[in-house]
Amino acid sequence: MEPAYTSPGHDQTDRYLLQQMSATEEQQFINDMQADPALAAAVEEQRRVILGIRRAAMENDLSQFHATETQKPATVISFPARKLWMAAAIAGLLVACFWLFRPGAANQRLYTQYFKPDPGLLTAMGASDQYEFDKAMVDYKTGNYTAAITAWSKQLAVKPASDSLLYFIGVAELANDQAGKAIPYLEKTVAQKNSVFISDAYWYLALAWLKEQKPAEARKALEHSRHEKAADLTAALNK
Amino acid sequence: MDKSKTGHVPIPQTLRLQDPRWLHTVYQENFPKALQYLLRNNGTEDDAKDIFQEAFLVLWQNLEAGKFKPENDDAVSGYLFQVVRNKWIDRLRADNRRPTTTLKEENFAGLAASTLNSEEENRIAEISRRFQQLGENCRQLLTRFYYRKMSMKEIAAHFGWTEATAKNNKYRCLQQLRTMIS
Repeated sequence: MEPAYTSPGHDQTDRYLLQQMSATEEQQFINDMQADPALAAAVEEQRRVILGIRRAAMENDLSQFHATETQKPATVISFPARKLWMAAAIAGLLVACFWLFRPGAANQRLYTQYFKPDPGLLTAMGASDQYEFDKAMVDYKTGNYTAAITAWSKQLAVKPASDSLLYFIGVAELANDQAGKAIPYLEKTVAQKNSVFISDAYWYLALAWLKEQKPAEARKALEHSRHEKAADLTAALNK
Repeated sequence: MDKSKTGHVPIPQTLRLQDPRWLHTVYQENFPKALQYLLRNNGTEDDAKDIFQEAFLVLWQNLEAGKFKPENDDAVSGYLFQVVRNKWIDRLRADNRRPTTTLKEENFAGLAASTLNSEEENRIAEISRRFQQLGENCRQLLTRFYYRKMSMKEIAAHFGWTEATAKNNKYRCLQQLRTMIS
């Protein structure tokens, strides 16, 4: 076995800074630092080094965050342009009235109001699958849902019980306007009672049923979701 | 190294590591408001991206260092927006441009107290810059361990190393970085 090439206390410092110590061990380490200023200084420097590393990684992630940022606020409109906009708005209103009050429009409206794709993961699976999963996650985050679904489906064939794959394929199908295809994946996710995705999977399952014009099924799914907007959507469905 | 008046070295605080998924959500939910604000105040979309990302780094850094301890997401949004406004006002003043809408500054005073001091910030920024000069394997290894929170076992599997080799390489990479910043 290869000998450990680390300085004494190096791993301990990391475990302290990364909050991986038990309460007793942490208190002992704090006592050691109080008794040994050189140790405290070394720990302080390591804290800054970790912050520097994390800052560099965060900066790299910011561009990825921005690439997935799709929500744009209304553009600031100058006064002369407003007249044109108002005329267009009035003309559009008649069409909108017909559209909004057609059968099933309320469900679609709620779906549009509440659906926002899961922001995705930065890491999820074991190391050997990491690259392919992450590559597809980049496709997902940049809105290329079809490419993400294709890549993840290949992985799912090898790991059919992977809740990460089932969940993200389901959400990607929904984001791709394929609620019917999303439902089986999300149902398989919620069937895994210990999955970390279970609450979110129920949320997207409810939205998928809503898009499929099945509000009763949506209500049932919402009962199991702890999503922050689950209560709001339930109330809106019960109006 | 900072020392108190009594000569004692302050005990370092542990890091408060933020979940990248939550950070992504914060970014998505708050960027539109910043964009709207910048567009209404002589800014462009590029300005909005720059200013928002600078502000986001300030928020993130102060969360990690435990200098800002929000009670809920609203506090995070409010803080972020204040930093955006501060940074944009500074930029406008520097460029001799004037905002087109009234900018309220009454909440700006409390912000400075909860941000990192400039010496600390400069040091961390320097470490970050030097980190980018490390080789690809070192950057990947340290990022996976300190940012992605992967175990040494997972990292070893990713690189096709033994766990002991992964640990040794991590130590060597850190030493390399320390040499660059010393």
